[in-house]
Amino acid sequence: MVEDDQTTAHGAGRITEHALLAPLQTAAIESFFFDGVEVEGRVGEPIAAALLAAGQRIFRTMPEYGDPRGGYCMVGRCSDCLVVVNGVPGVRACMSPVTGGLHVQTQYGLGEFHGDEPDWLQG
Amino acid sequence: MSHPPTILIVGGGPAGLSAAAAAAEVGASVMLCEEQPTPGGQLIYRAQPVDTGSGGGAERPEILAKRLVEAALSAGAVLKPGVLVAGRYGDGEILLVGPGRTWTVTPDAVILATGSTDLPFPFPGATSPGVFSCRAVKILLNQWRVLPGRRFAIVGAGADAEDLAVDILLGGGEVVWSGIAPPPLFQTWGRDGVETLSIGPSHFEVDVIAIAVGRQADFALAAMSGAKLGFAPELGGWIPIADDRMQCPEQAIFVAGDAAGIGSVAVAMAEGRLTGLAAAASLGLTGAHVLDEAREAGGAELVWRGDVRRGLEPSHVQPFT
Amino acid sequence: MIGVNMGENRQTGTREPGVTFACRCEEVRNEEIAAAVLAGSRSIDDVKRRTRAGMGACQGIFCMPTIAAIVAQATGTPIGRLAPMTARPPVRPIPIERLAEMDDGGRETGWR
Repeated sequence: MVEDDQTTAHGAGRITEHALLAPLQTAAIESFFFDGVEVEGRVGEPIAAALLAAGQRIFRTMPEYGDPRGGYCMVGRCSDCLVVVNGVPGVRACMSPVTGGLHVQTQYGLGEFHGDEPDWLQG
Repeated sequence: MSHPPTILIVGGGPAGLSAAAAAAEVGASVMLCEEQPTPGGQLIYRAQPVDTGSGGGAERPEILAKRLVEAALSAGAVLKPGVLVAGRYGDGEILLVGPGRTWTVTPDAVILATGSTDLPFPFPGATSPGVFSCRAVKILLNQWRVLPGRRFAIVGAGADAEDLAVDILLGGGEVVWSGIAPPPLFQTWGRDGVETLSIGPSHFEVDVIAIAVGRQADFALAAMSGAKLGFAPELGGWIPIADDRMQCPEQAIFVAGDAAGIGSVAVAMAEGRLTGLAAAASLGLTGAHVLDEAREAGGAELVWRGDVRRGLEPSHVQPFT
Repeated sequence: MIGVNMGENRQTGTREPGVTFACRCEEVRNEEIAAAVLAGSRSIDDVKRRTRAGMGACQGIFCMPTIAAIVAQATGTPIGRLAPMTARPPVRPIPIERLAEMDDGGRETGWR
């Protein structure tokens, strides 16, 4: 069974009932932002899962040809799901959990670093 | 100050967890590192009951995962989820990278239960958003209860592809096409992601394409450790060549499960148990008769895998380890 | 966005077959693998050195079988006789920051 209030162009959504699997332990729903747009996620699920459930298929573009990518392996190996999180590029959306208020953005190419420099790098 | 012999287990799937319990039970100091935040390996994203080979019928994967974790913990193994074994260096020093800590260890023995990765299937448009590996779709459907689309095509025709087809149906999706077709007859088209799949003159409207053409052993750490590799198509391709004690000759490296050749969950558990005991035996904690018992209890698939390995020509040893 | 993998050229609006990438991490096309063999590569490692295929984030996990098949076919070598791609640490990309944090190790637990 799939939630019907979630209509996306390609039929993505969340599975609410399953004949075999026990229900997911209820996780708080938190909003985060993708390219400035509010997205609903379950706390603790990977950013990639929340984005895909919301119908967002493109996570990044590639440096050489500019092709869009949107996740492939979901186990942290392939680099198709890299996104910018709070100014830091190269974050694997499939391995990084949703927390409320995150600012996630499409990574264009290798992205640019606009986060905080780590302490050890300063002087 | 003396301490028990130390065994590092890389990978917390059915093989690694079984190895951890077996080795800890006979007195080894066992640390198991699993890259993912939740241990269980493939069990975490399977939905349908799994045959454990014990003759007692199939078990629900989530229950089995919990059972294996508890067995390892109660035997005294230390489990470290979220810790990546990043590499093995010249004198056996192993780099661990975990949340909040990076460190090295030099264990007395290492068991590589690193599992497998899905084989690729390159075709025009294979990098489009909406094309995923088989296990990626299972992770989305079964672990996170997310449908990445409604209409699925599955490339592949084996147990993995069949299992996935049922998972898709259970999750509320539709399997529009499944089978094998040679690229470049197999192409996908779309603006922002997969929309149409063309197979020769036929066209299908799909949202997701799952690549389920098989798995191959994850042998990178074995290669780094100097294990000899051999090519066994019936076990997924290149595998580390282990002897009857699941040991790669000349190295204190043991392998079990998919990392030693693609196989079932049941054989991963049996091989994990055998390997845990074998690693412990190599450190003086148990004897050969225990290994023989574990090998006999392991079943026909375990024996067959040993036969395949024994027949392999070592094709390669990595230089400059 | 420019795209070559989608089957529709977003700039011209025409439909053309997408590109087949052997290496999705480094965007290396099948043709480039074949060209490397024509230029003299006889091993998977040599193809990697010429094309960057296998040097990306996945370290060859998702491209080595494809490279192996192309090299095997182009050179007439049985695939099992090819040496697989050399594997070096780290197995995944790690931020240098993590290595800078490295501590002394588990000596306190008996793990050297």
